[in-house]
Amino acid sequence: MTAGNPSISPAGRLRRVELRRYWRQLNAESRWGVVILALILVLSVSVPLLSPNDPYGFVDQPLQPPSAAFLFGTDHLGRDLLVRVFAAARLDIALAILGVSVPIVIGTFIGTLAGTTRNRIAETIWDGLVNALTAFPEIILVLGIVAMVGADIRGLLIAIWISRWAQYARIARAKSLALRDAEFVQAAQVLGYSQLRILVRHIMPNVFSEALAYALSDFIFIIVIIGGLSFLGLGVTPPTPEWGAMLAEGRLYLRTEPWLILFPGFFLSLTAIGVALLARGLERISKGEDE
Amino acid sequence: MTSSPGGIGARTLPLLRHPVLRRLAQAFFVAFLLMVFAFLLIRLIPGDPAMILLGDEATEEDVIAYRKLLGIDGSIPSQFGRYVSNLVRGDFGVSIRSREPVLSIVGKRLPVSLWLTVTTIVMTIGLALPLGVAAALYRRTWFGHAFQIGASVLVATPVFFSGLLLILLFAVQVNLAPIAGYHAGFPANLYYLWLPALTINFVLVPVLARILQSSIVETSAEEFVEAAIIRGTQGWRFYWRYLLRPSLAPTIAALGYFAATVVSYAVIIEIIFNLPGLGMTLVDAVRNRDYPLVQGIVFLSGLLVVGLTFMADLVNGWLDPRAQIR
Amino acid sequence: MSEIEPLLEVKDLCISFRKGGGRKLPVVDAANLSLYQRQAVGIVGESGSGKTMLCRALIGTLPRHGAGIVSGTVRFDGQELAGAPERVWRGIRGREIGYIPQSSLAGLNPVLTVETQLVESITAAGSISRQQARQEAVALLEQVQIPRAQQVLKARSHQLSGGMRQRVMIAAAIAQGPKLLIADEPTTALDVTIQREILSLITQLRRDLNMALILVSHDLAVIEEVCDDVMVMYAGASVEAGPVAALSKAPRHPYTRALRVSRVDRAVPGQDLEAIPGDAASVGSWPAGCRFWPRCALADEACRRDSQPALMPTAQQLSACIHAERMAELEQ
Repeated sequence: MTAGNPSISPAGRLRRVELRRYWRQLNAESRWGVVILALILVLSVSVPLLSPNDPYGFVDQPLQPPSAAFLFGTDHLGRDLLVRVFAAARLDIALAILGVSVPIVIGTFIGTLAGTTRNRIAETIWDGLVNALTAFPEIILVLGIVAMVGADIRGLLIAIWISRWAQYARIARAKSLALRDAEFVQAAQVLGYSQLRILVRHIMPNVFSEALAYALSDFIFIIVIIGGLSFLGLGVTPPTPEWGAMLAEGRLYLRTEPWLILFPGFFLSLTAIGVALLARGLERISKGEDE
Repeated sequence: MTSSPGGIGARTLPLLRHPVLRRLAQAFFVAFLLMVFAFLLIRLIPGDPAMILLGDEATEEDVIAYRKLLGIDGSIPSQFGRYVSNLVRGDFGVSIRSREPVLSIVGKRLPVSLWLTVTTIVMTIGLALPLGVAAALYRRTWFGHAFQIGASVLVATPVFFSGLLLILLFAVQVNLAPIAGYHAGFPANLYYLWLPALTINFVLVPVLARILQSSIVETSAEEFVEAAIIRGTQGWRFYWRYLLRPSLAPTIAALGYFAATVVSYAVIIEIIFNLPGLGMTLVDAVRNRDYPLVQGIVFLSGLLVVGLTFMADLVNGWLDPRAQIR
Repeated sequence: MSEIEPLLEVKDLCISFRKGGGRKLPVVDAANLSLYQRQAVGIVGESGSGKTMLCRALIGTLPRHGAGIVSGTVRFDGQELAGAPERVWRGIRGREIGYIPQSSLAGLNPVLTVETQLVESITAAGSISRQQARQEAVALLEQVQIPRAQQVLKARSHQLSGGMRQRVMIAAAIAQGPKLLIADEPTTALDVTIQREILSLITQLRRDLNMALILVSHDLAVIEEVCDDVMVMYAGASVEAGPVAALSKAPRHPYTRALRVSRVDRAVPGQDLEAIPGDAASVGSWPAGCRFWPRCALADEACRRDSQPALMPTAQQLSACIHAERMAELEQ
């Protein structure tokens, strides 16, 4: 116990206690997810910071296998793969967070609005619209939008935003339809609060928590799309360090220097697995399947 | 077959009370909206598409000709009217690159993609069924736990990484598959298709096997299972009639739902394994800014998914009469 | 004294759920029941009293529900069934003991036709041709008084009414000519008029086919209508057993008396229904002493102190109340 440590302020101690309580509520799966994600975050912050090598710069002879000097070896242009893998982690995770956060806000807002109508015809058209937008195979729709907007990071993000919001709108609508009849919403109506106030203060926060649960599994999908399009050369392009783009570059050396794909692929998969474990663990906790 | 009240259109048209016809009407409505989205797609281009394609030094006549080619001349409603009527007549426009009709390009490349999809789905069923059943029956043993962990890992591994790993294993280490490439003609083409199909199934099979597993676990708690045991039903009959068949509906529905995912991953897979299918055509078209070709393929892929989902619905209704009532 | 051997005799049966880590959670503790050829016995008790688990013990499906017999005996037709292997059970289930499951509206497989399931029941008894089995299925449906049997054979569960489904379940249960039919709450989900029809059907079939019957219900009125004897369960234990007439006229256990008083059909209009005070003892939290004492007006120090009393003979029945004699005095 560090209770006697004078350097910890009462507020700091409180937060530690709180964190410990959250940790206790987690099950094995979600704990593994947290550990994996924390590890990747720490490495992606510290490795590029502490290493003297530049992710873009030539450091030594190309295509060296992993060694004490270069833990992950060097790539075909003689760059340090270790630094590049974790520089890529920064970019991929940041892009995925950006990719998730905009659709969740837009989709939740539109879906909640749609949940406030009870018109039969409007409902039919709404169902059709969402079904149609989600009928397009995800990657093909993203490719189609990227083709129009431009094959770069900006185009990729716009494509993700346009193609992903409908899922959140669907969840938000279903939840807000259920909430509209809930007691506390009716109580707010009786008190004479305005429609907008009820929507923003009472319905949206509840809808949002539902959407956040879906966002975790969406995060996996979006990080795969970012990597996938970059792998196809239509997202993040070399020399920027990005996992999918690095896999595309390393693919040419598959026979002879397989570590070029093993390291970026492993950490990309590990990130996705970490999020998947966290999502599944939390889902099981909320269903009450584990203690 | 029974009719059921409620649902879209039930009150308006008596014909639509038939569940199959109602589903069909819904599918057509969604197909129309797909058309709208495909039409709007080209409007996402920032600036004048003709100018982007031709550059700054284009002549006035060239620009006008290109606008016509892209279907972006005249007012928006008239553009849409022309787009729809052309599509209905089977005219998907012309590739800017090769000046070949989009539909004929698709027709040439589609067989490879279809073969990949069919091989994938056959493999999915062949793997997911036994795995799901085994995972349900032995869920409290080491196998059940290993299945859960393995499924979590596989689902989260991106196909473009697992594909490369499989090539490394099967094509480089042992010589069971070509590294890449394709030759048409059944059954020789299976030699080129089995590894790509397996790669997609690395994601698909765990998901479906998991759905099947939990569905079987749910079914086995049903009262009719107990009734069957008591009346002495045993052997394959018991497993097929009382555990598997009542549990299949959610799995088939999920297979329909994941049709979009299969088609999605097929794009990346075709690039990794160098299969000359629609996915490769699409990626080339995106690189070349071949707008009409992109538009056509996006629309058709959506249509394909709507069709596959509709079929999954039909199979579902046949497998489980309860599904039609919902 | 020469006595005929009972068809079924359950003695001091204890059943527990198996929890993780080798822990056990008792659900039935000291259940006793005996039943002769062609006799109809009712088991009555609130939900959680262990009556369904007792039935499952009689058809050997406890392991499927994560439970097992801990101690006690179940003798059926001269054979010990407690701890019997699956091989033995296969010869018993369906052939010797027919069973209509609880909530049997869900007892038909929704994806199969009635015919498929009836034919399964018929062919399980021995090998007969498809044609014969079909004819027998029609005959069975007629026996349970289903009109248009041919049509019903082709139907699936969701196309039938609740009463029809229940009749089909009965037909499947009697298909192999069992000596004993167990019906676990056969009428709870049905309309009152259909309830009566089903009960009279069961009564008639029992006479026609010379079957013994165990009827489980939470409703004493149902049991009085159909059965000769009754066994009352409370919190996993048999608390009173004997002829229906004796228990209805002169109950010798306060719980039986309370069940009778709280009956809806005895209610006087305008007067409050006398419900049993307190909540039923739930599994895992049985009180020490007699399990009924927290809700009992007669409870005293002895009831709280001693363990659950065993069934002891009183006037015409068996009672597990140490104040059985006092109840007799109170009634006069």
